[in-house]
Amino acid sequence: MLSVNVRLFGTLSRTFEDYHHSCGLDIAIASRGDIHDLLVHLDLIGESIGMVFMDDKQVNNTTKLNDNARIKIFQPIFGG
Amino acid sequence: MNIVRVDMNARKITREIFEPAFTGMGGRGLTSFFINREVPPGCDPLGPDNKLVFAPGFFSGSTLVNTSRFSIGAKSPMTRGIKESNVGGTVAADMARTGISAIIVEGRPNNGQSFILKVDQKGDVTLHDADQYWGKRTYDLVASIKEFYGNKISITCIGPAGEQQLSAASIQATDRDGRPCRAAGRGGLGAVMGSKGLKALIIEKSATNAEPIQDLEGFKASAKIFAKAVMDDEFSAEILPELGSAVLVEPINAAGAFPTRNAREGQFEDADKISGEALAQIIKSRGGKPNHKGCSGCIINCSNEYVDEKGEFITSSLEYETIWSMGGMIGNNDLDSIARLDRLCDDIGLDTMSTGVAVAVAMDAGYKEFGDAKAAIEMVEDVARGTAFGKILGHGPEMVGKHFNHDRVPVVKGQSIAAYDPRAIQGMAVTYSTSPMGADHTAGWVVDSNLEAFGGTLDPFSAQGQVENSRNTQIHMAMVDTVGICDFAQTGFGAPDGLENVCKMIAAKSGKPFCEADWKSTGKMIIQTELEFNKNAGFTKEQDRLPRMFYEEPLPPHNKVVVIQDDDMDSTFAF
Ligand code: SF4
Repeated sequence: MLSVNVRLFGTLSRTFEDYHHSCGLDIAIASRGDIHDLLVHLDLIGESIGMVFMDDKQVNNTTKLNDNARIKIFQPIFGG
Repeated sequence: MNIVRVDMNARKITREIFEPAFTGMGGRGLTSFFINREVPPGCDPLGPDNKLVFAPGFFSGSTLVNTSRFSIGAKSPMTRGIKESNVGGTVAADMARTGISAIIVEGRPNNGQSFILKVDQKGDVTLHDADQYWGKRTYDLVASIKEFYGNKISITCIGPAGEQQLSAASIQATDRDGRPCRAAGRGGLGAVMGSKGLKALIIEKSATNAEPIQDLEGFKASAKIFAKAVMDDEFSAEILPELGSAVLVEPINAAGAFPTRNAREGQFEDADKISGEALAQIIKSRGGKPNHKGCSGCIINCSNEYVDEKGEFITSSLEYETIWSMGGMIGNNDLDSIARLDRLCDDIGLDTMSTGVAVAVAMDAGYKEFGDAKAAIEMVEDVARGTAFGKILGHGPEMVGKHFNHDRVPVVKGQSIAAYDPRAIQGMAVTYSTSPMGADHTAGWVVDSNLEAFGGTLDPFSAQGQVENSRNTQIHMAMVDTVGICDFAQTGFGAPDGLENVCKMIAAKSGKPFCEADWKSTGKMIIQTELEFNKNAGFTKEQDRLPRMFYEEPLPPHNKVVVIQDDDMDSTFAF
């Protein structure tokens, strides 16, 4: 198993009752898992996801997870 | 519909019939047209020949949601070119309902007198002596004005910075709760208002003379489609109401594009302490309002009310750009002090962006330490006190740079950049450089199209496609600012045939055909008008450049510089 810490941004955390933004979520996931597996694990597949960062590097769905990685998941943004 | 002309010298108010050529025009289209036609380009921005034009958006006051943008135009004392800055709140809808499309304020009282300009429910316009209000900060001013004129008014006003005619002075407008917390911040238009001795513009609410909509049913049908698209979009329907524009802090920081400590870095290590998520949590825990309707007819409610530990109101609305300018840009990780600085700027009548960047330049020059929020508050208070340093700061970053002989000054045409570093988002380099308005993020926000994860197709570190994308966005935004749609409600364009739907509303309101091609050609014409003014004011290509720091200093963490070549930059508006 791999352990990762996940922080959810925007309104992504609303379905996680005990979520505290300063701590994030500690997740255990099968070894060799990738970002897509993590999104499935978190039941975030139906959500619109913008950027995902692993240890401050932008990654994509097929990027393999590192043990003890810090993951940040953002929603799409718009501004002006 | 008519135009009101106010001669501040002769104290004379006249009315003109709306010229047919202006049909379908409002907001920025009108202000830029009048400034280019009537203001001598070489004039002193604070002299009698400059004019200040107020114009609600073309859709303001109608049933279309989120159309409360109020455009204010003049020759800018900051950029020395043409300027339009727009503000939300209630004034646009209230003025549109009086049947007045624009107020042109010209001349200057020659005896130093000050005035309030009042538009009543019938659309009658009068000038009132305002000497008793001169010197007041905006919150106190608004309370005093309401005591005399009653509560059922929108107030657009200046504070001490505008009275002192400082180049970073804003024009403040009241929100739905009657607080002067919405700002037409950019370009120093508060100084132009101050130079005309105009302390406030008051519009009575509930007028019923709005321009009739020629095809009311057609307009309503399209307005419904637009509103549905705004509410169907996750960002405008769910994310903004919950976290406000501050939701941008973390993703822009993660992208390495959050200018930090006077743009020495692209990431602020304490971004999580000033993020939208942290902001919402603090406001909720103190009993404030993380979600608040700031402007008439808004269905998004991106605004908030920040309160102190005792639950006392400090400011509304604490937004992304201010959190950046008074936070990361000056190395400050404390939301309470950011909120106090925001309130202070609203109260003194100062642009939070130009002021924060001016503080950052002073800190970068060694005047104070980065992160010293107390020093920042003192520096801004100096502006209200009218001290020598306060005047330097109140004139914005360029003046601060000159004072300290410091060349790391992130401005274009004298106006500071916003919260997106152009080295990490090259598209913003084009917008900052080429906009006739100076470095203005709203003139052509191309952040999403530069970030693949947000649906963008452009490489944020490459020049490829950036010029064309910025050009098209700037043309589009000239029209958005003309019809008066809030930037955040642009998700309404996401309806099926969204642009066509908006064009149908222009046609339905004006009674004249208007199609997508007209949208583009009119947007282009507005920009051409603005460029013409700037050219006649003496602007050359040399003004369409970022400062050297952006070409020479690689920005961590990506360690990139701006790569757009001058020739490419110059092709942006080679119409
Ligand atoms: S979304 Fe925000 S800025 Fe836009 S109209 Fe609503 S409150 Fe005003």
